[in-house]
Amino acid sequence: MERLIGSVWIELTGEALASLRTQGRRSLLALLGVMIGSASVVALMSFSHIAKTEVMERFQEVGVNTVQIEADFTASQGLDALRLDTTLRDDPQVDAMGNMAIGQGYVRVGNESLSAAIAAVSPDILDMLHLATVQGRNLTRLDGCNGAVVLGAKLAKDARAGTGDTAYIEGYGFQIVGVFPFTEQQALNPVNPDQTAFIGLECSRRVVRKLGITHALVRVGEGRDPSEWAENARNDLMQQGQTVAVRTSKDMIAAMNSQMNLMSAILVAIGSVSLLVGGVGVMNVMLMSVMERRKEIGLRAAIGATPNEIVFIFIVEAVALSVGGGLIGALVGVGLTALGCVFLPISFVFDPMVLVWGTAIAASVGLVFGIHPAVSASRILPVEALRAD
Amino acid sequence: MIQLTDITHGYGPARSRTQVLDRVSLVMPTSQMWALTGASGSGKSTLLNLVGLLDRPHSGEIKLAGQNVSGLSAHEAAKVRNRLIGFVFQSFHLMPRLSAWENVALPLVHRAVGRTARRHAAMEQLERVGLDDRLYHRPEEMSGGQRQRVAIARALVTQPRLILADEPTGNLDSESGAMIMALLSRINREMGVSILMVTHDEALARSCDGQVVMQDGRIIQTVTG
Ligand SMILES: Nc1ncnc2c1ncn2[C@@H]1O[C@H](COP(=O)(O)OP(=O)(O)OP(=O)(O)O)[C@@H](O)[C@H]1O
Ligand SMILES: [Mg+2]
Repeated sequence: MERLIGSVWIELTGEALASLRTQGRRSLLALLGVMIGSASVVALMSFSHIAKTEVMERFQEVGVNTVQIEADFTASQGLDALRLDTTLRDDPQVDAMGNMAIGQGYVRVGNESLSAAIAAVSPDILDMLHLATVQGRNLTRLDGCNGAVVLGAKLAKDARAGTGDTAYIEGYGFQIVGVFPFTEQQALNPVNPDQTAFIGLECSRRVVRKLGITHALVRVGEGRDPSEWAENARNDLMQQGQTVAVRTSKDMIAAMNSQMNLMSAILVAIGSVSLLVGGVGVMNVMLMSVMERRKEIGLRAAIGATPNEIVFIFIVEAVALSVGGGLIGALVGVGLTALGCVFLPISFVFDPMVLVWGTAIAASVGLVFGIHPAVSASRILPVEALRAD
Repeated sequence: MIQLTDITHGYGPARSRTQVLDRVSLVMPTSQMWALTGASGSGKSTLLNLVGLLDRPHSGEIKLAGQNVSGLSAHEAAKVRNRLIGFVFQSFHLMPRLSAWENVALPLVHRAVGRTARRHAAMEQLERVGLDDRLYHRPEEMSGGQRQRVAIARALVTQPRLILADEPTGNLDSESGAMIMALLSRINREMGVSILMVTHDEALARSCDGQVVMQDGRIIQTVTG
């Protein structure tokens, strides 16, 4: 094409847009296909964006330098608290740590009997997980195994229990000293706090009936590499005959990210299929338009439109249609996402880039699917097009 | 202006091709108005389309204004049409959605002329054909004669050297037809634009500077005044 920047193209763009306006309803029809495609791509993209943000927030809560140590019961008994403490607590790289022993059991309050997770914890761990009560008080080091329990929000609600009530856990009586508020799912926390009864670590042997500790959370000092520390700790414990699995936020974020990238790739691929269908719609409308406007094409050729100029007019029409549909669709997609977030336990985040992407993708769909009709328009022989009939 | 040498042409695929033009040669001087006559099917429109570079001859040479235009690409042919030739068709070929002035200005779009300048040029030509009071009328709001005058204004707006007209009065009543003819010959006289026109009107053909008579794809007679 000679003089791509020359004003012929500007004048022709004006012509193309004007002719779209006069085609009215059919233009709208083509718009619809691309609109649906773009809406689904954008909705899927922003959903996965939101999910990603959500997961990151969960990790931020626990801190990215936290390590979870889990006893491997296939290889050994539970962890020995003393050994854990001597091996890890004195490590100068460790900022904070706490142990827990978790199991499943029956919690009875009055006539309600519910199956729940039982977590015997050292109070430090509640700190690390930012679990503070809304009702009553939290467990403290002083509680030991004196029969104090703090219930998760859902458990308390289902059992219709509050502070002061007595809860029987596996038959042993505990006094409910506090209730936690509803919390989001936390990364690296092996239990869902909402459905768990928390008791002192010293009671683990009696109630949880597992031998030893099942999990420990360790926060490594700022500036240390949690993965490296975790690997060393695992080896140290191994030498003492304690087989453990270690997890760090960093590794889990990486694993989850790659999983989610795969997910969004699949979702976007599905959305792309609908865009493709929209593209075929644009192509159909444009092909129809080329057939109907044979006379116009012939006339333009006769008065001096070059084949390139005719290609250009029809491509501009196709791209304008797609961009229009793409933009509207992108907005609809964002709207759908916002609506979806109302019904899901996640909060809506607006990412303006999805609008840019949605529109850009739609534009390229218009370009790709506009080429064939445009080129076929430019190949029409003027004599054929102008023949009076 | 027009110089044709041994033009042959036919339609359809190579084997079953029917010869429509058979070694046609012709020289038409500049600034004259010529008529092309002959029975229906004798090849008049075919010849006119070849001269207008709307189609390519199978063989032979076409020169317009001294330039050999037989081997041009579609792109180059379009440029020559825009620069040199104006067309007037029997069925007008106006764009129904555009107003009179926009129809007249259409060739200038492909010359990168801006909208304001286009409007000025279109108004000037509409004035020439006596339609300066119909600037905003659509084709459907005009009579056949008026439509053909819009088409002539469109042919003139690029200031061509040659106007090709295929039965320009074919769809008009005799009164409007006479008016169009008078207009074309005035344009020829006043502006010096060469005109080659297909017509069935013998009297009219005789009043032109030259007359070419065709029969079965050949020129059987050339009369020059
Ligand atoms: N596209 C085409 N395909 C096949 N044959 C064609 C085509 N166009 C014209 N012809 C044939 O070529 C011959 C010449 O046609 P052309 O239109 O040039 O005649 P004409 O002299 O203009 O006739 P008329 O006075 O009726 O307009 C005719 O026999 C016609 O049937
Ligand atoms: Mg004819």
